[in-house]
Amino acid sequence: MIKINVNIKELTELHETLVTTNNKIVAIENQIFTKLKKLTTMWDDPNTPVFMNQNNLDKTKIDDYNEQTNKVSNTILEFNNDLINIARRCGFEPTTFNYNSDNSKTLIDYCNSSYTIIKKAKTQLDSMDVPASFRYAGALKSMNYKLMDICEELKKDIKDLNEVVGLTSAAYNKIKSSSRTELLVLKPMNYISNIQNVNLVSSKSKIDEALNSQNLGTNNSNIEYHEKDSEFTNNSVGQFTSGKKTEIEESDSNFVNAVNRTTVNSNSITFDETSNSFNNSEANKIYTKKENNFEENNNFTNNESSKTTSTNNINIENENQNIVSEKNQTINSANNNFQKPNETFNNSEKSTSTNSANINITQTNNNLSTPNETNANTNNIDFNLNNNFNNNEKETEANNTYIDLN
Amino acid sequence: MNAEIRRYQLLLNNLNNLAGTLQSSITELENAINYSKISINISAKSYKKIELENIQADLKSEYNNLVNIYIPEARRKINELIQEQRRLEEARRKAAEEAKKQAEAKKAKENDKN
Repeated sequence: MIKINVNIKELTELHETLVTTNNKIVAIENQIFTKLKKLTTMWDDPNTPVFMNQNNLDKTKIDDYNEQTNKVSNTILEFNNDLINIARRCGFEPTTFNYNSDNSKTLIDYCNSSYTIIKKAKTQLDSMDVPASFRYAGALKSMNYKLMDICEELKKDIKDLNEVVGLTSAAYNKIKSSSRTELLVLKPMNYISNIQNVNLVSSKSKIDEALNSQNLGTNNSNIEYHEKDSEFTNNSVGQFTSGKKTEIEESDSNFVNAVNRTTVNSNSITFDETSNSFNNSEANKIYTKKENNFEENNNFTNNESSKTTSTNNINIENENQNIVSEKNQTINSANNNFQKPNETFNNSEKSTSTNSANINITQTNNNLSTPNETNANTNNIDFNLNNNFNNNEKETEANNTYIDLN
Repeated sequence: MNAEIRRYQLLLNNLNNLAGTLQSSITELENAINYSKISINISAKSYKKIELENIQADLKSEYNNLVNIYIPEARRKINELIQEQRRLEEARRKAAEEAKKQAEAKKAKENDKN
C-alpha cells in the first residue's frame, strides 16, 4: 500500500532550505580547510603530518556527505515536481497531495463494474423490440444514446484514474528507491605523541608567507627573527653599559645562544666559565702585600712598589658565589714609612685596606667602566656584579678597588 | 391482436429488466463515489468524484423516466390492447349469437310455412 500525504508548499520550502544549507556547509568547509592548511605552515610539529592527513580525510568525508545530501535534495525536488504535475493534470492547484493506493484500486474496480453494468443496460436496450406504436419509442431511443454517452464518459474517467494512479506510483517508487545519506561521523584527532615543545619554524620566509596569508599587519612580538643563526635578540632588555651592545639571551626560552662570549681587551678581566675564576691576567696587576719603601733621597715617593696588586683569585662560584681571595689584599700596610719630611705622601686617605674576606658576589647590575674598556663576558647566568674596577693608567689605586657586594 | 399484446408484454418485460440493470449501475456508482472521497485528494478536492456523481445523476434520471413513465405506459398499453381484444371478442360473440338467432328465427318461419 502506498500512502502519500504531502503538503506541496512545505515540500518546496524544505527543498529550498536543503539547497541553502548545503551551500553554506560547502562555503564554511572551504574556509575552514583553507585556513587550516595555512596555519600548519607555521609549526614544525611532529604531529603536523598526522593532523594534515586527518584533515584531508575529514574533508573527503565531508565532500562525500555533501554530495549525498545534494542527491537527496534533488530527489526531493523531482518528487515534488512529479506531484505538482499530477495535480495540474487533474485540474487542481498543487497545494496538498493525499493518495491511498488501496482505495484508489477499489475506486477503479467500482468504476469498472459500473461501466460493465451500464454497458449491459445499453445492450438490453439495443436488442429491445420496441413497437412503433409505443408512445415512448422515441424516448427509449434517446435513452439508448444517453447510455452510450455515459459509457464513453465512464471509460475516460477510468482511463484517467489509471493514469494518475500510475504516475503517482511511479513518483513514489522513484523516491523510495533513491539514494540515502549515511550518517556523517568525524572521528577525533589521534596525535602520535604528547609533544611538549613545539619549535617555531625559524625560516623568515616561511613566517612571512604565513603572516601574509593571514593578512596580519604587524607582528606584535618584540622578538626578531634572524636568518643567519637561530639566535633571538631581545632588544627590549637592558644591556651592558659597556658601549658595545651585548647580546643577552632570554632566560625563559629554549633557544641556544651561540654567541661568542669572549671579549678581548688587554685589561680585560676574564671570566673563565669553566673554572668560574676571576683571573687578572695582567702580571703587573698583582697586588702584593708589600712594604712601601720610601727612599729618602728621592723627592718623590716611589710608589713603584706601592702598586697595589693583588692576586685576584676571586673564585666566582655559581653555587655559593663566594669570592675567596687567596691572598690578602691588604694594601698600605701599616709599615709604610714616610720619612721624608718635605714630601708628603699622603696615602692615608687613599689607603684602603681591603681585607679579604669572603666576598660574596650577588647579582646586581653589571657596571664595568674602565677607560681601557674592560669588558665582562656574560655567561648563561646573569652576572650582575657591581664591580667597579678603576684601573688607572699606571697605577691602580688600591683604595678605589672595591667590590660592591650588594 | 394477441401478437401485439405479446409484443408489448415482452416490451414490458424488457423495460423491467432494464430498470433493474440501471438500478444496479446506480448502486455501483454510489460505491465508486464513496471511494473517490478517500483515494486521490488533491488540494482538498476528490479526483473524479464530481464526474461520477454526474454520471450517476444521469442514470438516475433515466431510471426514473423508465420506472415512472415508460413502464406504466407499456402496462397501460397492454391493458388497452387486452381490453380491445375482449371487446372485439365480445362483439364477435354477439355477432355470432345474433347470427344464430336470426338463423333460428328463419328456420322457425320456414317450419311454419310448411
